[in-house]
Amino acid sequence: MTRNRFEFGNGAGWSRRSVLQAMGAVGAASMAPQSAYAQQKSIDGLMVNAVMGGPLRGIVEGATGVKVNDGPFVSSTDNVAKLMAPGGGTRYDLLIGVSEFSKAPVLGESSGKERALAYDPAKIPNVKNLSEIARTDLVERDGKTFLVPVYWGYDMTLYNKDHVPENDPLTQSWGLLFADKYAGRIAWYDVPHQMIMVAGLHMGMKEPEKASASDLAEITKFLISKKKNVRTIWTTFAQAVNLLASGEVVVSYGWIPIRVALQRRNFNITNNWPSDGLLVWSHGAYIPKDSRKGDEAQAVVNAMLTAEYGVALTRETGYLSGSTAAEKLLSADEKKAAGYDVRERGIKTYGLKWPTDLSRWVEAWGKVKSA
Amino acid sequence: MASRSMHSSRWDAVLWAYVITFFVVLYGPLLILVAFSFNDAEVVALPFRGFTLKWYWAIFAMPELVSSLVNSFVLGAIAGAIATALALGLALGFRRDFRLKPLLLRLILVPIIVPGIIGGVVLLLFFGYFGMPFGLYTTVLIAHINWTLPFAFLTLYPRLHRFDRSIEEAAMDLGARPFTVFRRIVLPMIKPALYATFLFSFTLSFDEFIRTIFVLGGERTVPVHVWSLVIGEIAPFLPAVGVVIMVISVSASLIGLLVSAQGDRVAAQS
Repeated sequence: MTRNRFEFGNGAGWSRRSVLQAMGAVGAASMAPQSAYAQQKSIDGLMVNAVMGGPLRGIVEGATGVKVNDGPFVSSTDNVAKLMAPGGGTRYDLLIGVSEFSKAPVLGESSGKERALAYDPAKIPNVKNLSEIARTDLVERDGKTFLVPVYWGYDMTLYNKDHVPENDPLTQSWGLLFADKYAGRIAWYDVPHQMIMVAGLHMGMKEPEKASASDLAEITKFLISKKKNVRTIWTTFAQAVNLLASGEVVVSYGWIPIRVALQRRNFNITNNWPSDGLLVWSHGAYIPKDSRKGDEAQAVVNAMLTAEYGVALTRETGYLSGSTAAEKLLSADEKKAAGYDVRERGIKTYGLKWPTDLSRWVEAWGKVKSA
Repeated sequence: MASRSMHSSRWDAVLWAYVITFFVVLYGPLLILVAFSFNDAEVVALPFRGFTLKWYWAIFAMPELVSSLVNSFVLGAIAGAIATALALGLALGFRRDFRLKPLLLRLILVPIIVPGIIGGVVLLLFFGYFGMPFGLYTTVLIAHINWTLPFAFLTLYPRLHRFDRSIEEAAMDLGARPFTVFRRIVLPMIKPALYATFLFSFTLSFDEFIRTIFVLGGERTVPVHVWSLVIGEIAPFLPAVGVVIMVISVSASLIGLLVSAQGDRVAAQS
């Protein structure tokens, strides 16, 4: 190398001046997009990615002027773990997860120790339209609101109508998941909380989440006895879809998006409305207390409670809006298919409540899987 | 003699059966993935409904997936370059003997030993404690360098360790300064090893998932994006995405191996 030149050999090389010019050009080019984007308001959020998919993102961003950067959603408990980790108060501006799981960590041990910002009622006027089911999960303390349910849903058993009769009391109960009739063609979901809850409901327990040690042992014994009917235990959406679509199973524990995805592709799959208790939950939005974009986050939450968003949410994902405003714009058939009228139809609902001792449930499920 | 030959051919048959089973188990799932990537069906399931290339075209029609691919490429290139440079520095340092050398050598390898999920949690807590903004070129880049550096070091160190120091000493005897010796003698000879190390580090970074998921911000790398699709959508194009990722990773690794092998040949000849 000479003093002002980097030589590569064969006479080729860069002069010091050309290197500095190139570096300047790269620096200027990298600044230009940043300066353009710096004008647009944005928030970083974690939520089920489908609720910001397709037209839903356009509705929210169009209504608020806020760009939503939604990170990869892992689970509601992962959201809570990130909130509680060091620096969790500033890392995200909006977290949306199962309200029941999020309630205690969001509220903290006592008044003043909340990990979320209190909502400003003036910034979320659409909360007044919360439906009865969603309102039960509103999280408040000392007159302030810390978590707002934005949509709700339920878990169910999905079944193939070509093989399973719809108008059968067995079909319309959690017993379908354990039925000897469909032995070898049933799939369970690999999550202790839900599987033990539905087994408890099926066994007639009034409050399965408070199951005593002996109750839990009974549930475990029951699940082990029915495991012989199970073809497989799935862990991901894609697995569940493929199992039902291929016909490998005709009955499976299911989620709303699985049903919607299969029906959209004309598979003759539908869900039951279990008489022993439809397992309902809501997803609530909370804003980490150290977020510097509280106003923007509240605007997004408010937009998610609009009629336009709620209607699109149900039509795109099958989830049910937490706002009655959306329900009014859906047709009777859409409302029935989605399940907005479950209580009017007399279907018993049961909230997906946090178990009193989840570690024992995890241990029990481990015994079921290894049996 | 005849019984010995029969015995030997029986063992040959067992060995062949073992080898075939080994390769079927190892590569069978990959071949199934490739087959499904051409399946003209809306779900990733049998039966095979016809041959199509549409899922490959679909990948490039999805801006978010293309963006994730670009993110992984750029991140892999940067992480690979930094890890290679750091590994080079470490390997040069480790040519000398010094106190605590064995301990330091083991410390460098700790990221390999620590399970990925623990590593991810540790990084999450570490970055959060120091208030670092979570993003692709902040926390994720550091996490990837942390993961790839031990492998880069293990690839580069043996090459430098085998390097004939007498050539460097001869150059110094002729008046060359240490930096000139490094630039004119050492660097040209280890260049193939550097390229191989870079490509290997790139591959590791490109495929990294578990640590990334803990320290990612709003952007996605391609493994994280694929995982999001698996857990949240019917994505019949997923096998095609898997094949594309595999081709990228395998190509980078093969090129690295070829360059490394060429370097070994050149070193042997000299």
